[in-house]
Amino acid sequence: MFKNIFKFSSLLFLIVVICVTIVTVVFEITTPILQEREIAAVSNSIDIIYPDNQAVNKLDRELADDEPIKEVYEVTLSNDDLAYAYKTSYIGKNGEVVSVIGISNPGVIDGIEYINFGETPGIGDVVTKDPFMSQFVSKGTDEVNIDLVSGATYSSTAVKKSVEASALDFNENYREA
Amino acid sequence: MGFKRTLKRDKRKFNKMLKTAVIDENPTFVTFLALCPTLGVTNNVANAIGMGISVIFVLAMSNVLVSSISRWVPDEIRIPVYITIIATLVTVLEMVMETYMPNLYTSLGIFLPLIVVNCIILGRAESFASQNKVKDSLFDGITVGIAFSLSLILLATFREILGTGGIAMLNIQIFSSENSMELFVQSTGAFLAFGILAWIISDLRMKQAKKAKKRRA
Repeated sequence: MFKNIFKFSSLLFLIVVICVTIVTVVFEITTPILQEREIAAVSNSIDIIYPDNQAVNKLDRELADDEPIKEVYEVTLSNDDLAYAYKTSYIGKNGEVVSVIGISNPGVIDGIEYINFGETPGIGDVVTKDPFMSQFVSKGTDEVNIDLVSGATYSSTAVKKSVEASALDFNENYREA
Repeated sequence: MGFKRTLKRDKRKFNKMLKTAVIDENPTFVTFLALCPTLGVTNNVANAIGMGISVIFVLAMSNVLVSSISRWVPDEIRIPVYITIIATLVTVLEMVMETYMPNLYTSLGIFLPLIVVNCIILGRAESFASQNKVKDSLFDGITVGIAFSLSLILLATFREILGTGGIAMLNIQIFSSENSMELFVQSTGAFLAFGILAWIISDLRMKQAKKAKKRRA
C-alpha cells in the first residue's frame, strides 16, 4: 500500500510541477504587457477628461486596500492650475468597475471615464449614460448625491462609492479654501 | 504514395467523426452537456465564436495530452491528472487572451475560467482520449469542439437577432432595435431560446427517426 501511495503521489507531483512551470512562464511573459496597458489606459482616460493637460504625475499616497481609490494622479492643466485624477475600483455585477474620476478646484467633478466595464448591456450600462451621469458630472464635491438605479443596483453602487470616495478625498487633501 | 493514402483515409475519418459529433451526438442539443457556458455566453455571436474557439483549443490540446500520457497514468489517479492538465491549458489560454484579446476576455468574463469544469472536456478526456490513439483523439477534440461551437453560434444568432434586431459583428440590422425583445439577450431569454431550439431540433430528429424506421419496415 505504501509503495502505491508513494508511486501515485510522486507521479501526480511531477505532473503538477510541469504544469506550474508552464503557467509561470506564460505569466512572466504576459504580466509586463498587461501592466503597460493599464498605465496607458489610465493616461488615456485622463487625456479624455482633461484634453489640454500639460503633465500628469502619479502621487505617492498610502491607500487602504479596502478603499475604492487605488491611485491618485496630479494633473497640470494648460493654465497651470492643478486637477486630480482618481483611479478607483469597486466590485460591480460582472467583476470590478474600474474608473478614472477627474476633480479640480474649487471642488468640481469634471468627468468620469470607465476603464474596465463589464456590466450587463441594457441593464448595468445605464451608469454610463446621461440621467445617471448628470447627477454628479460637473457638479460640486460638497454634497455628492447619487441616486441608485433600480435594477442596476450593483453597477450604480460601484460608481456611487467610487465617486463619493474620490470627492471626500479631494475635499480632505486638495481643496483650496 | 503511402502518405497520400493515409491523408485520404484521415480525411474520410475526420468527416465521419465530424458528422457524428455535429448531428448524431451533438454535445449541446442531443446530449445536453456544458449548458452553463452555452446559456451564459450566447447573448451575441462574437462571444459565441470566441468561446467556441477557446473550447476547440482546450479540447484538442487536452485530448492530445491525455491520450499521449494515458499509458503511464494509473487508473486510480487519472481524474486528478486530467483536471490538472485541463486547468493548466485553461489558465494559459486565459492569460494569453487577457493580454492579446482584452475585449473578448472581458465579455467572456467568468465563463472563460469555467472551461475547466466544462463537462464536454473532461467527458471526452475520460471516455475517448484515454482509450484511443493520439491522432484519433486530436480529431475527436476538434470535431466535438466544432459541434459545440456550431451549437453556440446557432443559439447566439437566434438570441441576438430577436434581442437586438441584428448581428453586431456582421453589421447586419434586420429590424430596428427599438422593436426587439431585449429579454432574449438577458439570461431569462437564454433559457427560453434554448428550450425553443432544443424542442425544434428534437422534433426534427424524432420525425427523421420515424421515417427511417418506416423505410426499413
